[in-house]
Amino acid sequence: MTDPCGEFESGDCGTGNPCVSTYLDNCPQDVECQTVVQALVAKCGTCNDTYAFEMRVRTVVSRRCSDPVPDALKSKIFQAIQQAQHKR
Amino acid sequence: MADQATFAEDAMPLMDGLYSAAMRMTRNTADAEDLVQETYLKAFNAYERFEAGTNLKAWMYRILTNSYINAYRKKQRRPDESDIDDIEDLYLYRRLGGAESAVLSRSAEDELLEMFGEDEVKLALEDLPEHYRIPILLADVEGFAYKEIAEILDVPIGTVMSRLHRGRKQLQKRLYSFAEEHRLLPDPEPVS
Repeated sequence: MTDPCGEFESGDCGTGNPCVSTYLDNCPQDVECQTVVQALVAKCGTCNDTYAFEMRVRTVVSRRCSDPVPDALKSKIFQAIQQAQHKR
Repeated sequence: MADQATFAEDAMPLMDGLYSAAMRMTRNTADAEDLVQETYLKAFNAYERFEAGTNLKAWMYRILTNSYINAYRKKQRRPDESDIDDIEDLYLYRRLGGAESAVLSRSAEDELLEMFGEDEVKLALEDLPEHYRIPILLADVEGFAYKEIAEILDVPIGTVMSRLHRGRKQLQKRLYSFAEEHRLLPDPEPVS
């Protein structure tokens, strides 16, 4: 991965680069990609902190937004699919 | 081409995520259940046209999103969309963990983030305008990448990036407002 923002190359930017979000989004489930991104972001202490913080916010949002499917709905849909399969 | 006989086996494991997404889209249980059922039946009927080995999850979310847009969106209230341009980047970080503010230690940040319960996060997300809410849902809750979201929503990648950027700012501002309202912050004066 290259650094399209060109802002993770040296020292500490002191404010946190908004491009951190872009890096986070580019490889949400790809461990290899995340490793590359983390190495890139680690060049700047503040960006590294920002990256970790944004990751934690997203984890909290993700964890809090899951709703278990009601069992009745699962059964209803499964039966509807089976019925549709039998009709074919 | 996918085999319809394996549809249930392939697609049923995706139902938890699809149902959660439907809940955030429709904001009520009855519509969410109808939306998920409609999605599965449409997907089953179209499954022979799905290319086996490609991204089933993204395909299912595309059907869900299109079904929502076509059937349910008209019923939804339009949330407030004002002032997004006034919200700075990395809104929460700059107030809670940023070098500028240095308000909270790492462990205190974690504690505060954990105080955002299900109700607060769900309300904050559901209160976003739809064109921000759905990309955030797909990215942050379901873990889709830009390219996949662009395909699901049938919009350019640049549009996805812009909507995520703006939507997240608004989401973070709402979470911060909650923390302020509930006096969760050590200093009641917000850092400007």
